[in-house]
Amino acid sequence: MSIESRTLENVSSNRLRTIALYAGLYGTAALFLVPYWYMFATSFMTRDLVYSEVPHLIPWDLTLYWYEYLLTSSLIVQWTVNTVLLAGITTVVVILIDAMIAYSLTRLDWPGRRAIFAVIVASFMVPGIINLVPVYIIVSELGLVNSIWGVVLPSAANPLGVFMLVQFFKDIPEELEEAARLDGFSRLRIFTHIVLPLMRSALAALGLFIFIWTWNAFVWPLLILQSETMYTLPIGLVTLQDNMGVTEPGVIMTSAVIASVPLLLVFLLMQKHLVRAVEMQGTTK
Amino acid sequence: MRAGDKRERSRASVRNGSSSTSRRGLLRAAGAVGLAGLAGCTGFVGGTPDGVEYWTLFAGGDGEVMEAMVDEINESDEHEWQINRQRVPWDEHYGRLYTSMVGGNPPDIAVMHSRMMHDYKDNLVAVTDDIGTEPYLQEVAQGGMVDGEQLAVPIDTHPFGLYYNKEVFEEAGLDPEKPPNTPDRFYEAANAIVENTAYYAFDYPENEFHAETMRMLLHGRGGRILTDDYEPAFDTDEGRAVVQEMHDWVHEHEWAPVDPTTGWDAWNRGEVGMKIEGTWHVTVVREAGFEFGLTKPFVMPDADDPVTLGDSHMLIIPQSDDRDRERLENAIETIRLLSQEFNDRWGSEAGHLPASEAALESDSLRESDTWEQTLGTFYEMVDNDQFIRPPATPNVEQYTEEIYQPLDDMRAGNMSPEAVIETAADGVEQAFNRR
Repeated sequence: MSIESRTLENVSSNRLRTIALYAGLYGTAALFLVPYWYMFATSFMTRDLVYSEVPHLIPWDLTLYWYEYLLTSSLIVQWTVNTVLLAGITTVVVILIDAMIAYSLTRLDWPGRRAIFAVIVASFMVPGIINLVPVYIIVSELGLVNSIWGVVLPSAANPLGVFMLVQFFKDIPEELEEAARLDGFSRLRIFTHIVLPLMRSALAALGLFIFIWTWNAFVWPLLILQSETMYTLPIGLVTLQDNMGVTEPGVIMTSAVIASVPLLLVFLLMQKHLVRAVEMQGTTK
Repeated sequence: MRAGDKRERSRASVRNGSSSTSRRGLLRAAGAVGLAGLAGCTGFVGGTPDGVEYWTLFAGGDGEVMEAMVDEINESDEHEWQINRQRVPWDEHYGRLYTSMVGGNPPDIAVMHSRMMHDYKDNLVAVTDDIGTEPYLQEVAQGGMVDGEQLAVPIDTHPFGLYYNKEVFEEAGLDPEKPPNTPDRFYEAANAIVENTAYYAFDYPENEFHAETMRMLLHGRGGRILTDDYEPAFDTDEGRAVVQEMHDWVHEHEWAPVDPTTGWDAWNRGEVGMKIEGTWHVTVVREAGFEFGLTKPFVMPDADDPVTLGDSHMLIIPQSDDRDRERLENAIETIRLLSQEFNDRWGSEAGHLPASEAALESDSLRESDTWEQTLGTFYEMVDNDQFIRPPATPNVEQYTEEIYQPLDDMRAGNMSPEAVIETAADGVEQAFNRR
């Protein structure tokens, strides 16, 4: 066999391997998409297709009935506005408070900061459900039941956020702050004009986590928001679904689409920050 | 602009003592103010609303009826107070109610099932002198009585019945006007459907209602689920016969599918002959669109005393230090309106059997389609003493789960009837011992 034909054989074998690899990877990725596609497709199916013995991935008989039902028989628009507000305000408050806590734990010298940090980290180990009743009693005593602040404030000092930001703040060179101090910057100005802009990607990543977490939060907002007009999407949609074991798959899937599409858009907008935050962890910029 | 220029400008602004309000900063501030403003404008910032706070767990068909009833009271000139009704997700209703009572922030009125009364009885306002049990079906009203005090007022009872698809009956060569209301007829119909059609003959509920179906069948054979001391009482010949029968529906006769979801979907497609469900199911079968009938769920062979089983939706007033006399009176009047004046609508439109005697005798209910299709049969069973209520005990949800989990496992083919009895009996004992 000539050298030329052996080379051609190698090239073709490599190409085949690459094609097989990509086919396998894209195939696996497509498998993960199937449930989402089914959710999306079912939301446009007629009742007959929804209950059909054979599951249909492509709805050949389209209807907007389930969307119409949700939009006309529920407060879904109000719930969506509420959810955006709650998630937005919680994200801003958590980022602000957590960044200040993390900064004070890493950059300021005060007695007991190590112990406080240990307590914050240890609080990871306490299941949230255990705190439910005590925190509810405190919030109730403060008169914050049925108020958005009753939902926002208990999550303001988020241990996950503090822990995550502490790790990022440790990577910021102290020389930057010293230089700023020499230029006459106050501590607050250093924090707002040097530290926070440097942490933009980390804060964006934390913001994304908090936004998604608040968007999906169920039990705590349900306890605090005691009015149907104040419900968030996850709560409101469940009130439409659950009834003596009676569930309409069309309603469930359409609710799932409505609840998840905004989140997907937020994720797509923020994903470059998320990737950058992961990249920069452990490095110094 | 070069980075050096930017830094220099920043330093200069600091030296000059001026605050550098950039365009981006202004936009951020405007965004934050806008968000807070929007929250305020939409009322999302919150506050304590005036009026009677009423927590329900009704969604779907009966949720819409309750909403309409409350709206009518609110819009009426006869009543000066407003009712703030809110739906609470079914699974979270009791957790939220409990937390709110512990936190001292309970609603003025809440819906409660009569079987849940035991755990809440010490924290409810008695309405014995204000409302009383006389206006209601006595057997149903007793569900709200504890030690001679009326702590809850019933709006309905929602027993089980046997729904059947008349179109499937016809296809199987059965007379659709001859309901399968005895064990023999049930067997005959089920066998005919399996032999003559490609459909399932029968389906029945899973989870909590699976355990209640067992309780209903067991009672018909003279057995019980619990003793008066909350000990398991189903490890008997009767208990074993009932569990064996439920096993055979799926695995011996192959009348019902192994997977309850398959059964539910097939029923909605009109491909199941018969199905045990409660009063609420009438809205589902109407939506499904096939011709249906309802009969008594007396499907257990050798049952000398067949019964249906039904819990009740009751209205309670949780105790609260913050509630003044006027608010309490408004709450009591709201309960009276919903459980008496509007009770016929609750029957004819939501499908539940009204608790009020007057509503049950009313022309508006008796002449409704719902009475003819379902409620007449349900009422007949209640009126003939063929009706039981699940008892109010401690740890209701826990011990019920200890029964339905092995039953669900048996239906899935993972457990034998003997193992179900043994596992469920151990579980029930533990559920009460944990207390």
